[in-house]
Amino acid sequence: MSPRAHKNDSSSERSVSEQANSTASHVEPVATPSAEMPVSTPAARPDGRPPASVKQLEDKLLVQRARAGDQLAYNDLVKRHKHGVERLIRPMVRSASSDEVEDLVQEALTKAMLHLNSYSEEYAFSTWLYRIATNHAIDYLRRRKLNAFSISAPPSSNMGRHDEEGKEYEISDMSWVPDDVLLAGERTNLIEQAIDQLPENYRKIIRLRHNDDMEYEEIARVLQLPMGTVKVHLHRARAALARMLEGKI
Amino acid sequence: MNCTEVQELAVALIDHESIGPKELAQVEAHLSACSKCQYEYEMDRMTSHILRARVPIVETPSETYQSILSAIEED
Repeated sequence: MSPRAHKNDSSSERSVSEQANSTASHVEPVATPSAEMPVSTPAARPDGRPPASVKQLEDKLLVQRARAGDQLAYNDLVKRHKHGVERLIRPMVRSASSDEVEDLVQEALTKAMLHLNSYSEEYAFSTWLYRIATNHAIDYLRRRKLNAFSISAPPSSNMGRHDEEGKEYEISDMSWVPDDVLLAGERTNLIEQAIDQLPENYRKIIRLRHNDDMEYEEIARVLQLPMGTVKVHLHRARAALARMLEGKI
Repeated sequence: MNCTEVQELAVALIDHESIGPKELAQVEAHLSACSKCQYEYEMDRMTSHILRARVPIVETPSETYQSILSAIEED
C-alpha cells in the first residue's frame, strides 16, 4: 500500500476534514441539517432549472457550516461524496491499483475541502466536486503518460547511420528502419532467446562482440583463442543465429 | 583461398573492418563460386544488421523531462 493511502474510512475522513478545517477561520458550530435544520421541500428555481434535490440542499447547508468551521460538516460532506467520487475516478484510471484509486479519491476530496471557499452555491455541490475529481484524475493520467514516455522513447532514426559531420558511413545496403517500438521490443526478445540457444562457444563470442562491443583482439584475449578462430567462429555463430531467426522476425 | 580463410575475411567485411583490395577481390571471387559460403555470408550479414539494430535503452536527458512538463503545464 502506498504511504499516502488510508485504509480506515473514519481515519481518512478525519484526515481530509482536519486538513481542510485547519485552513478555515473558526466560528461557532451550527447544527446538522438533518437534526436541527430541517430542509424544506425543493421548489422550482426562477431561472427555470429543475428544483434542487434534498441532497443538494443538504450539501449546501453542510458547505455553509463547514465554511463556518464546523468539523462535523466537513466529515459529513466527505462521507456523502466519497463513494460518488470513487465511482467517478475508478473507470477513468482503469490501470491504477486499488491503493492508487484510494489515494486519488482522498486527494481529490482534500483538494475540494481546502478550496471550499471557491465553491459557488449557484451550482450543485456534487457538480463542483466532481469537476475537481475529474481534473485530478486527468492530472494523474498525464503523469502516468509522462512516466511511460521515458521508458518507450524511440531511438533516433539516424542512429548509427551518420558520423558527427552528417556523412554516411554505414554500408549502402543498410536499409533497416526502426519498427513500432513494441515490435522492436518483441524482435529484441526473440533475438535474445535465439542467442541463448546457441552452443556455448558461439554464444560467448556473440555476447562479447555485440553486447560488450569488444574488438576481435579483446575477444581473442578473453577467450584465449587465435584471432582467426574468433573471426571464423563469429561468422558461423551469426550465420547460425540467422537460421534460427529466419521467419520469426 | 579456402572456405575458412574466406569466412575469416567475411566477418571483417561485414563488420566494416578494412581489408586490402587484393583480399577483397579474392573473397568476391570465392563467394561467386561457392554457394555455401555465399549463403553463410548473407546469413551473417543479415544477423549483424539485426544485432546492431537492437533497440537500446536510452536514458532520457533531464532537459527533455523539463520540456515535457512545461508543455503539459501550458496545455
